Amino acid sequence: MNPRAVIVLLLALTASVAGEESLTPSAVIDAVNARPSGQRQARDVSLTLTNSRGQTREQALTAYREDVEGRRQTVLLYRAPARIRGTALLLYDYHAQDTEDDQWLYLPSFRKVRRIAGANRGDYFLNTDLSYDDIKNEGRLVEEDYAFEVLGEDTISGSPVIRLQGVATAASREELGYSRVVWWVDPALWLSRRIEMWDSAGNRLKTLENYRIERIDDIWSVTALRVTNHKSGHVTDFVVDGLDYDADIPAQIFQPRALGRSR
Amino acid sequence: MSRVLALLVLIASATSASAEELLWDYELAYHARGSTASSALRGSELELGASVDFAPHDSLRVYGSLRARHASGDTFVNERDVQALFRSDWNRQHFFGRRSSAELRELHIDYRRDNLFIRAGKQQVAWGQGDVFRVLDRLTPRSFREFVLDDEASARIPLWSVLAAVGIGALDLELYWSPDATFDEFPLTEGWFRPSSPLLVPAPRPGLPVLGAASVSGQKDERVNSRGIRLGTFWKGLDLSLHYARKPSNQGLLNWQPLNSGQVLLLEHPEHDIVGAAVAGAVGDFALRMEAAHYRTPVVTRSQTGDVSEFLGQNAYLLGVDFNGFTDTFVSLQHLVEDVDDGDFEALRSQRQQFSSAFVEKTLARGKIRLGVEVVHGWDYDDGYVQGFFSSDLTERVEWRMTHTWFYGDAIGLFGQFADRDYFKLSILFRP
Repeated sequence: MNPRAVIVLLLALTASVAGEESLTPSAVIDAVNARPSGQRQARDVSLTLTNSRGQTREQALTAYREDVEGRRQTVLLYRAPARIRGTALLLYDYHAQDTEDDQWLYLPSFRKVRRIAGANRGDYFLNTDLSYDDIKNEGRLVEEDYAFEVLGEDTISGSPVIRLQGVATAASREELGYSRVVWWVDPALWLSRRIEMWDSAGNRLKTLENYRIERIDDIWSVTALRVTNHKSGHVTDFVVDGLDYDADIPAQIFQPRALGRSR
Repeated sequence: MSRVLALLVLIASATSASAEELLWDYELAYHARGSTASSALRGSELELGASVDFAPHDSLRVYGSLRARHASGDTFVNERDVQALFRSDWNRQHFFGRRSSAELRELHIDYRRDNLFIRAGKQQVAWGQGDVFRVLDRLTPRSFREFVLDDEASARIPLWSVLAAVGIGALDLELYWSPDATFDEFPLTEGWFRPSSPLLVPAPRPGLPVLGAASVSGQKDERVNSRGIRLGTFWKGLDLSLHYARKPSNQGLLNWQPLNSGQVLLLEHPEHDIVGAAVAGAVGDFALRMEAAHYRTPVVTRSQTGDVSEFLGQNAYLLGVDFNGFTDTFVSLQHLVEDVDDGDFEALRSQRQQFSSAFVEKTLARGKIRLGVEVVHGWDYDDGYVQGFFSSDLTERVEWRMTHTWFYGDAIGLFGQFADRDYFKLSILFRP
């Protein structure tokens, strides 16, 4: 059995024996972060962007992700709409905290792969309601960014959850644009079913709901989520199809120059 | 024959692909254009772009695109008459009368297996790290019909060619070959953006009459091939690449030649070597881009018998800085230096030419509204252009876009030659 899965199992057993009230924030964070997420994955993602007037825009992309020595590399290939078809983004997210991410963008209107500066962590990711940091972390919790506290228990759609609050440190408050975040963590899956974010002024900013969670290749995976921005009224829906953790992904697809050959 | 073959390949591949694998699109655009300087540019154009993209097999992909235009007049250039000078027999537009045309823009088959990638067919290949200025991006020629375009890909003239790429460990090796003798296309005898700068077009020989509108003849060697090799890698956070190409000059040499009792401009595209390197990296909110190359370029020099266009060696260096530090704002700055390295330099232009560019784009309402400005300035003649643009999605399928370009500076300069004319375009685009 995968060592990370063993840790998750042990933590889950601990939780069920000792009761959630005895869980420390660190135990929840470790369990969430130890949850298997696969060494590689391929998936099709449909995005629906809805503004406050109810106008919608649809986008579709294919995403490939692979963990290699020292970094996580991700490729996003836009399939629709026609105006952005062929646009591709490559991200190298290094495990070393002091190493900046590397990013490349391919725009069909230039036919060139452009090196782009690493985005600020709090920037919105490609017109969605998620930030670059939200996308990068994929639900993992970063202990350095917050002072964590277990608030108690709750229930979402019939599933018992642990409410974990993180109050942003002074540095991350500025970088992330959040003053406080609350995660509703399902201890049976060690996945957040809901996340609420407050902006740096303390106003309620966003709600993320992971409303469809499926077990795929023995890995609990979010396959549908909705992010609502309470300030702008903008909503982003993500629906994942064809999630495959055993996908045969050619190594070349993660090379910068290959972005222009992917259409 | 090649057009029939291309069409058969497209149909055969499309019929063997399942509906799931087949993606097709079209875009319909209406452009109204004009100039505050003259009513001569006033007109409109209907443009249809269509593309098909499908995968008949796991390792195969076929992509094709067409562009058809119907214009209200021959405002920019009589492309039908001049294309024989610039384009190979296989790379021509089809004209229906004087106002309508159709062009096969791209048609290529991609083959991918493990670390090998081959793209064969009509395609555009872009090298280097620069925008606007071409230091290494010299494989695919361009149409200067509208001189400054907001979309580089639609300004390029794709060539029939083969590109093979193979990954060897951390190295990416590209090999390029094209038998397509097609070059930069520009309005030589008539048209809104017909070049008049003496730096580009030598003055006619004194005493010999210019033979009217048919004053240009081409000398094209259809047997000349282009070939190139590019070696790239990603090393310690830097994108590094080395480039070599041997190909005909895209810009071409223009010289006056006596003919009968007068003289005509003769256009030639001599072969030359391009050797260069590029590097790009990112620091904080900045991305840095650099490229350098040596190649030969047409330079007009003054002689006792009149101006002569010569093919001289030139070193070019480009430095670019991009900034995307705040959300939805992109700023790009570039500086280009071009040094003719000929020892007996007697050209009209400066031995060292310098140009700078600045580009700022802001997107609002989650990408629905885009506005920006591009400024290009030549330091030797204090000339350049300013282009402002604005676009907005009216609905999910309809976008409107407006661009206005103003030229300024000394009429000798590359941009200053158009200082007496500006150009605006209002476009409405529909996509399914």
